[in-house]
Amino acid sequence: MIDIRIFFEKSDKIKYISHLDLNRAFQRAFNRAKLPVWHTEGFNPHLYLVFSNPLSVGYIGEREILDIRLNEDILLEKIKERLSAVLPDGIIIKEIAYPRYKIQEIKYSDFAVNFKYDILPEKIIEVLEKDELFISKKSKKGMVEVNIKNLIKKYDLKNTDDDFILDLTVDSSVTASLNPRLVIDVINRELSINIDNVKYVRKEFLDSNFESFK
Amino acid sequence: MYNKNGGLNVESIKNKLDEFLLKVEKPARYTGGELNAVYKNKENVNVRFAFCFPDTYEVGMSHLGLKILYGLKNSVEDFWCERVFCPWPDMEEEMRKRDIPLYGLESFDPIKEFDFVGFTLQYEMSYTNILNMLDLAQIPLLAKDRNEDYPIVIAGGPCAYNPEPLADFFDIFIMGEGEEVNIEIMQLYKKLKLENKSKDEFLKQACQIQGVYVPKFYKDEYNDDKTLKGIKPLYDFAPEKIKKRIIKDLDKVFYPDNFVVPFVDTVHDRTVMEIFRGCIRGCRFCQAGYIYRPVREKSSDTVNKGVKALCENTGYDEISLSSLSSSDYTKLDETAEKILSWAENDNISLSLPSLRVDNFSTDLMEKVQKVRKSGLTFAPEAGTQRLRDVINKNVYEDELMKTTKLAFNGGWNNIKLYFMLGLPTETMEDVEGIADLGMKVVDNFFEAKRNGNATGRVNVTVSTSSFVPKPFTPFQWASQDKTETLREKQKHLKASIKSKMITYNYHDSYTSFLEAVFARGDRRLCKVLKKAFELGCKFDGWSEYFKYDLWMKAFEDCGIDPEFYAYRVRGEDEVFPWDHIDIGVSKKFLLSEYKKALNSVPSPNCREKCLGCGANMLVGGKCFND
Repeated sequence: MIDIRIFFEKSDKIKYISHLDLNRAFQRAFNRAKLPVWHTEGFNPHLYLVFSNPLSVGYIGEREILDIRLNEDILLEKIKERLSAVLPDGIIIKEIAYPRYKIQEIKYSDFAVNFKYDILPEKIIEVLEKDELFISKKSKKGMVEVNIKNLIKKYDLKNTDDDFILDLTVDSSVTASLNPRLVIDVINRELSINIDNVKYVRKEFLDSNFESFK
Repeated sequence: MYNKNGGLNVESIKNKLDEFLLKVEKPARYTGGELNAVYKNKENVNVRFAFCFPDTYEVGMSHLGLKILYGLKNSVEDFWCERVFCPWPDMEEEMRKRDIPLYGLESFDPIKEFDFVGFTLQYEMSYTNILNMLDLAQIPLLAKDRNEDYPIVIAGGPCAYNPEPLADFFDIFIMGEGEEVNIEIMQLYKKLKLENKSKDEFLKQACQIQGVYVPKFYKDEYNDDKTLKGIKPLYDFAPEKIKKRIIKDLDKVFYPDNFVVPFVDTVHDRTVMEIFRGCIRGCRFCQAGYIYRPVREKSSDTVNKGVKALCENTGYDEISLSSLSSSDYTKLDETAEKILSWAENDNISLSLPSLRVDNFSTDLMEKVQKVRKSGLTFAPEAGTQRLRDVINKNVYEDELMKTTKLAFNGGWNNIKLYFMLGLPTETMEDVEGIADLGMKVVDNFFEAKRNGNATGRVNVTVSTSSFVPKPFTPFQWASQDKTETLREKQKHLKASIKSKMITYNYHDSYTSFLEAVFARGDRRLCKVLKKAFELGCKFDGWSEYFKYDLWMKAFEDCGIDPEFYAYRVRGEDEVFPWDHIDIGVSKKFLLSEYKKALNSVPSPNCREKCLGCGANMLVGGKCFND
């Protein structure tokens, strides 16, 4: 059995489909591609697919990850070709490779957050520079206060007039992860503003050295 | 009436959607882009058709008729058919707030700019959604208010056989199977469009096509007792009777080798293959059993090749063979064998809905079981033999016992049984019969368990729906039980079921009452429907939105008594609102079946003995080649 890592884009076109829908779309694509994909064993065998952590509905992912197993070795180019031919338009294969790390070793991810608002960039930076940024988050034990400041590793704010791009590097591991929506929530709360119509793009996953995850 | 421009352009609808789609439930229902969806260059298209399903995306995308007609229309190079579903109220609210008109899922163009807006009429409770969709599309509801700038609004499907309660809203109704007539209508339209002819000229020529009904060319008149006097053509060119269309050879007719594969989970998300049309049985309550006559089968090769292509093109791993009664398909065994010979290797499962109790085989069951095991569903429809004879179900208790024993011994633990309450001549004894039958099935399980052939827990689900008398059935003369009576029967059945192994489900009787009103309604109901829509009725088929009180207010405001339609036993000579529609089965035959029903006399099925219903003339005189 050979482990294969697929890097793909969940594009603007299909950003509204859920993770479950995406999973199903891939299952059907593998059925159509007739690739020798390994099935789990047992009474109800199913395709073995392992995804990087789910993207929220409405977000674009430029380099999402899906791990599969093949029963026989096939040229990576060939896999890319066959899979690309049968995927719905909005799912684009970027690269197919042999995995270097286990998918659980993903540490961070890069996001680009795009919005329009009439505000001075310094105001936003002031918020992001605070020592602590607590927000209430739903957990199994009810609402808990989380300091998301610790989960923001880097940020960079660019703007042309009212058009903002906030680049964020945030925790994205099994133990700690941050949805950039919460960063916008905090900015809104601290500045008593209402940034709306935000476009979220997950650019890529990173390893513990802040390098592209492979 | 030809291609209009103006209004919002595509990019602006798409951009506007981005502003709020995250606020609505399951936004992927409104953005298209699914595998196998058809996109064409508008510049090369002559006729644009909006196929509207008046219910949610999940329901509509499960509908086989849509898949067939979508594939068929798009197979013509210069026709473009797009899909439109009824937005859920949260989406509707956002669209209305922003003045976004209803749009086609492929192009995002407003459907008011299309040439045709077509609705499929699957159930009466979707009628308010039709009006809501027209309104949301910014198209005037009444045909008479739509000038040349608006699309032709057209409908087909089983409920179109009594088109009268919708007559004011549509330009055209199609009677019968749509594969040929849809294309003929669109070709005619294209020809007249190029000649720049008017809408009236188009309708005038269209009604010459067999199966086409243009309601505005007809007038309804009534007797003093409020019953119908007749529906007569207003012009010489309009045919007195509109004869339904059928496809003679199902091996030659278009069937898609490709389905649009939805991203979101829908009700039925799988490969579906029609195996035959029509039904030999003639159950007296069943409209499908008469309107789709005569029986026409597909060959096992057509079926097998078709499902193989569909599985390859969609990636589906489940196949369902579709018909009114799978086990009546004469080539079922060889077809199942052909399909399973390759499907098993590909981990693809086969399911057979609509199995009958009386001709179910162990062999077949084992074949279907090989890949994956699903629950089994049977429909005895009534609890006693007397009542089953009345409805001509021709299923006997010992057959149900034999079949359920087979099923339990074969490892099934879940059996669903469907019944109807409120059938003509039904007594409380018949209702108790349902509970008895359920109990006997449970007993069969324990017997199988004692013999060591069954393990675990058994679950028998008993479901009852309420009988709705339908046009073109022997029961079209019959009355419906009052809602109070139906409730008593439901209560009585619930009390009669003692075993914990039996789960009892039943349908709301108010919904069935309204169904009965509209199923056999006439043109006078158009204003009630419009009123109900204006009062806020929509998604009537969804219990959370069904507003019975508003409906009753609509009837009251229009001065129309709904009970006149639902509860009245019709006289033998009464003229029905659908008498000008010819389904090939004679009214005389239906009446003779009605009389037999009242005397509890069953009829043989079509293969046993031809009863001369008349449908044979649709295929040249002979239904079966043997």
